[in-house]
Amino acid sequence: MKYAKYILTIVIVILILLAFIIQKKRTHYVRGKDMCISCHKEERDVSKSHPKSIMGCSTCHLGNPYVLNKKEACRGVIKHPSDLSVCEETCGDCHKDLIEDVKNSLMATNRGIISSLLYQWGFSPSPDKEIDIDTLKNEKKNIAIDHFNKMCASCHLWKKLGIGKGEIGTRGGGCADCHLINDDRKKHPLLTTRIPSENCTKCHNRSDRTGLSYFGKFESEGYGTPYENGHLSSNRLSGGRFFYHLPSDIHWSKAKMDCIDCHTMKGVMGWGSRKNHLEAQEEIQCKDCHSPHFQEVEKDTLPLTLSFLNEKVPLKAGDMVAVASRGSLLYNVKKVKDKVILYRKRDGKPIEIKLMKKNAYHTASYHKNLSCSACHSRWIPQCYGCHEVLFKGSKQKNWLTQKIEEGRWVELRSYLRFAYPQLGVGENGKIMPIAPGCQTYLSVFDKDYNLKQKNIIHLGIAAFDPHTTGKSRPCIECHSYPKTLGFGEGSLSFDFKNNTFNFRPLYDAKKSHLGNVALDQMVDEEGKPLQITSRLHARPLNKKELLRMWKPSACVVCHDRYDDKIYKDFDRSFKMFIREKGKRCSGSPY
Amino acid sequence: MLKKEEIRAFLGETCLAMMIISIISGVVIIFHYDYHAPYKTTQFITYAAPFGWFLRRLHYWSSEFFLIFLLLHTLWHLYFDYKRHSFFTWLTVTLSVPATLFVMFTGFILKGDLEGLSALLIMKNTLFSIPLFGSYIVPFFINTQDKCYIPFLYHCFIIPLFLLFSTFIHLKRIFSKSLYTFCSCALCLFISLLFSLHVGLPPSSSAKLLKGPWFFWGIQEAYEFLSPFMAGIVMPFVFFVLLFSLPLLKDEKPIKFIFSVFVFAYCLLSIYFIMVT
Repeated sequence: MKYAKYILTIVIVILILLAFIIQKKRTHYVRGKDMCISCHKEERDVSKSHPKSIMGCSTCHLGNPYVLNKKEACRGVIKHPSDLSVCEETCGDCHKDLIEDVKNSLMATNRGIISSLLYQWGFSPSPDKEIDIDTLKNEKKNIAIDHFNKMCASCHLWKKLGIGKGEIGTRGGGCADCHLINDDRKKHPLLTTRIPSENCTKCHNRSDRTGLSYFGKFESEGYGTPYENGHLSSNRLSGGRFFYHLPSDIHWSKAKMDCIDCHTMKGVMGWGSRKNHLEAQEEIQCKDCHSPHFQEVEKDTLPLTLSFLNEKVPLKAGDMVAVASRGSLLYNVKKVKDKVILYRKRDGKPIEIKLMKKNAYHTASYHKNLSCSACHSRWIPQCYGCHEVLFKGSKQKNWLTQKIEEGRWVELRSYLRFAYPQLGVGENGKIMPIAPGCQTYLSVFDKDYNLKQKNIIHLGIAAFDPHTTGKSRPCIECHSYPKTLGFGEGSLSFDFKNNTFNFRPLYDAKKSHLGNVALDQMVDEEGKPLQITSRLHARPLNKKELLRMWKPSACVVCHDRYDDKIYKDFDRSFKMFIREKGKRCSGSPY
Repeated sequence: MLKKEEIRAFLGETCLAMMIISIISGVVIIFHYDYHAPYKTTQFITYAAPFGWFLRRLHYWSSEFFLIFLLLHTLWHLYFDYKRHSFFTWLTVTLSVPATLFVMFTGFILKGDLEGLSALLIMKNTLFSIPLFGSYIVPFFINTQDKCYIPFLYHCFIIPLFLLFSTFIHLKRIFSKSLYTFCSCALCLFISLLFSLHVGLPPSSSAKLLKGPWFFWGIQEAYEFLSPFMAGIVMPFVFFVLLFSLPLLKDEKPIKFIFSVFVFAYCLLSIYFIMVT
């Protein structure tokens, strides 16, 4: 026992020395950010801001980055790290605030789609019900939710990337849904903030079809015409659909601008709180660029970060950039001397923006309630009659549960048209284009394929910007065309003595067994809506507005210039025509 | 033949020496640990930090020995060397048993691996199951922002300080005698060089069966038969109330008997858990 302490001290020293020797052999473990690179040497950098030399692989893909054993190292590796179910641990490690925003954005919640669907199908008293993809499971099951789960739910940010065939398989995956570029399948995909429009249009090509219209594509009927050398047309869309070429939006045809050149980060990724509909989240407006006001970019602010990440758009502190309607700075719209320049985010190409002229057609008080799209939309895709057929005897995949469930939906339509936009009142109170959306006819077949239920759920219309901007429409097109006014195709006359409209629709809905209302008639002669909208305050034009629009219908044929003196005080001019009977103009019906 | 005093000294002094080794090795590890990224930093310590592998093993093995010797010391004292103490002294000293179990449990959580985070989730739900007070108690143990933050506080500061305080009340010193310290050091160093630690499952992975720390196997099995409140709260609570109440009773034999039954049943449950898994 006398020497025990000395012996133990020697033993301890020897053991510590052994630890030193072992440590020396282990030093190769320390090299590099993580050990994944020792196997995955060939992988390229995902982006300049995500270099593998600094971030390694495990920052995004998790796993165990310090083990050289493949099995241990790859255990727990996540193939799609930006999937919303895991992104808090991956992307959220650095971009925590953005994850919060994105999870609450409309592309993740689908609140607008779900609440409108429940409202229009009669399962909710309001289109503003706070119901989202993640709360849908708490909702009492009904036919509308079943329809959403099987027909619509393949298109949201929570969807797992790679599930589903074709275009559906490319949708979803959280952040990757927009930010991923899969240019070479043999290599690691790239991450970008210069999001190509293809990433947007893989989802936004149905319903209001803005992703098609902007690029001058109109989804045609499924005939596949015109045939090409005895084959169906090669102008194809996903799902076996075909398209025609129509005039594209001027921002594309003239400037080749992508979706992200207008649609801002906040407008797309949300504000952190859940919004009911698109207009509550979207922040860009035409005037933000065409009648802009500017703000100086301060040091270390978001616009500089976005410009840095974009790599193409030049920006420095002190530059004057345009301010979006909700306060975000548009880092790609700059005041350069006396000009307003938009830098295309894709390649940084400067494009001079034409500013809104202060001419009569923009300043006239009688047009103050018009949205830009009311006049500048050249055409709008119109999908009439949405026939939803449910076969309870068949099965279909529920995109939310990823299970095959009883009940298969088949969606058919009456007809598709491209036409001048009809006008109505949007949720914001402005006159804007309005189109069918959705006019649902529901047929339910039981398990023995017998028709169990057939009814019109509703005829619905929706006000939206069709993204077919171009030169303004002529006056006559809005003021004289019954379809533009909301009556639809047919013959419209006006009884000036009784101040009443008389309209005979071209389409005979009764004979077509599609109800009492022609599919393109939104309003009756008394200005009462015949179809409902997907918003509480959106509607067709009322009687007062119809009369106001119809009044100059005969005048605009000849007096087709805004600066014509009769429009300086049109009400007075109109009264003069009535009073001064001898001075009736030749074209006037009075 | 060893005398009672020698056995008592051996168990107690070794227990103390192990605790000190555990605390010192833990203090060194803290510098590399980040409760924001518990799994990643634990793996970094194990595989990349200089001597991290060694210090972590040392910390692990010394802690395990500390608990084992503490339990042996307590049982020995109860059954073979029992002396009546004042209630305060007894409570302060015996509280070190649940405190040590808790500090070991938080250590298990702080690895941040699948087992650790699952244990945290089970603890959270067990605390929530406490009638009326559950939701008020949970915030004292789990922070929703950083799951490992509060366990980190308990593991690295609150409980070690209490254990040192408890030791001082017990012995009027906090270091063990040098011979026991040397022996314990040598044992821990030897074991640490010889045996590596289990590579924890990443939190993003999945597993068919997750096992808690060995001293909780009995409770884990009890969850199969009892409600979370009964298995996770009432059962340990009764066990420790029996232990704490000994100085208050004139005749401690019945309590010791119940206590023995309890310990025996718990051991059986733990063995059954191992057999069925």
